[in-house]
Amino acid sequence: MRERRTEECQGQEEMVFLFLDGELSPLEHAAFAAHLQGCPACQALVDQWAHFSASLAVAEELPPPPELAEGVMARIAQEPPPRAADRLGELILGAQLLVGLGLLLLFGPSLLKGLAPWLGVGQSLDGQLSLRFWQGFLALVRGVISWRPLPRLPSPGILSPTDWFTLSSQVGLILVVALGLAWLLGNALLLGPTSGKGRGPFSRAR
Amino acid sequence: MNITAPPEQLTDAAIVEQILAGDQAPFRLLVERHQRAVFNASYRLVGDHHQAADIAQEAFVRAYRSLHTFRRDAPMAPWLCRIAINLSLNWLKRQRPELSLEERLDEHALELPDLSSEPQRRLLQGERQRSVQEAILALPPDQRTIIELRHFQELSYQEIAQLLGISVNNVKVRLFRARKNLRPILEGMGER
Repeated sequence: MRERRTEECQGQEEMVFLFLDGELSPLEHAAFAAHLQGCPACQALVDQWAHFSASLAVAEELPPPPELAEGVMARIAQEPPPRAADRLGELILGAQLLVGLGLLLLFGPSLLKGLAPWLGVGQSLDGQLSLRFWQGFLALVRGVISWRPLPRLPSPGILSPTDWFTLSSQVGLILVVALGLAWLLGNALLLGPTSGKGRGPFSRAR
Repeated sequence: MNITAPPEQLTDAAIVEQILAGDQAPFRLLVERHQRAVFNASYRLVGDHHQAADIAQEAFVRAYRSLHTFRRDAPMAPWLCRIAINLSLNWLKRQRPELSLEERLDEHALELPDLSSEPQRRLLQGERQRSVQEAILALPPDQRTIIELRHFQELSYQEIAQLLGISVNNVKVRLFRARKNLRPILEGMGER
């Protein structure tokens, strides 16, 4: 009987872990708890692994080196106050966004005009490019909110208004990405860690 | 130091407020309060006292730099420990490939003290604590990390997955393997 039970419960060890770790949904938890009532084999597993967790808890804790606090304070004495750095970052971010937006509004229509022949739409939309740009700008906002991939374009010169919307949003997004990269680069150069020791992949902690 | 209440009565959030208001000095209180947890979180991962101390120091400096991102309503120790863990993981990645688990376990077995005589038996508790520590350090880094995050930092599978950039299923697999590897060692300790 016990052997059969053990066989039935093979593969339940993972359930035991999930149960003990609190990773089961309430329904699963209740179901497994009910299973435990009638299954000494699984109950024994639960007891064993609970004991395992308790064993881990006694792991030795070493005292930190006494000079740790002094070392930290000496390091941060060379650091700017955290909020001051933050304000500077916000100012730079704001300025970059304003410049980026200005550039987008200033050169957006020209960019579309430049792209028009390349896309084969010729001069047919020349008079409407500004309008198209603003439509595209709105599409950009919409595109940022809910991204959708660019559909395969029909043959050049036959762009529907929807395609124009999508294309414009794609161009706008590319510009935004480029501006974002410029912003990141600017921040890295202007606000990077002030000491060599601070440089590393986790320069900004979670 | 511009502190009106006794230091032991100040919450971490209150100390953070003072630091963000421009007073660096109270940061020492945070370091003294949490250095043990931060240092040990790192030590359990890197297994080297000096390296763990360096990482703990770096973790506190980085925490200081990004103190404005700390959520005042959250406990500080897990936040600090995660910074230390991230730094420890990076350090581990930069190291040479580790010995296999079997080799590490063999080393570990050779280092275990002889507890057969009565005077040494009195040291059992301390030795047991040390042995658990050694058993964890004998695991491969990825399994050691998962044990640290689950059993010591008490993170959920989802949180571990996010922190390590792996899937929840991968977390389950690694945790399963790590526990399986640790179990014989911990059971052996119980029999002594």
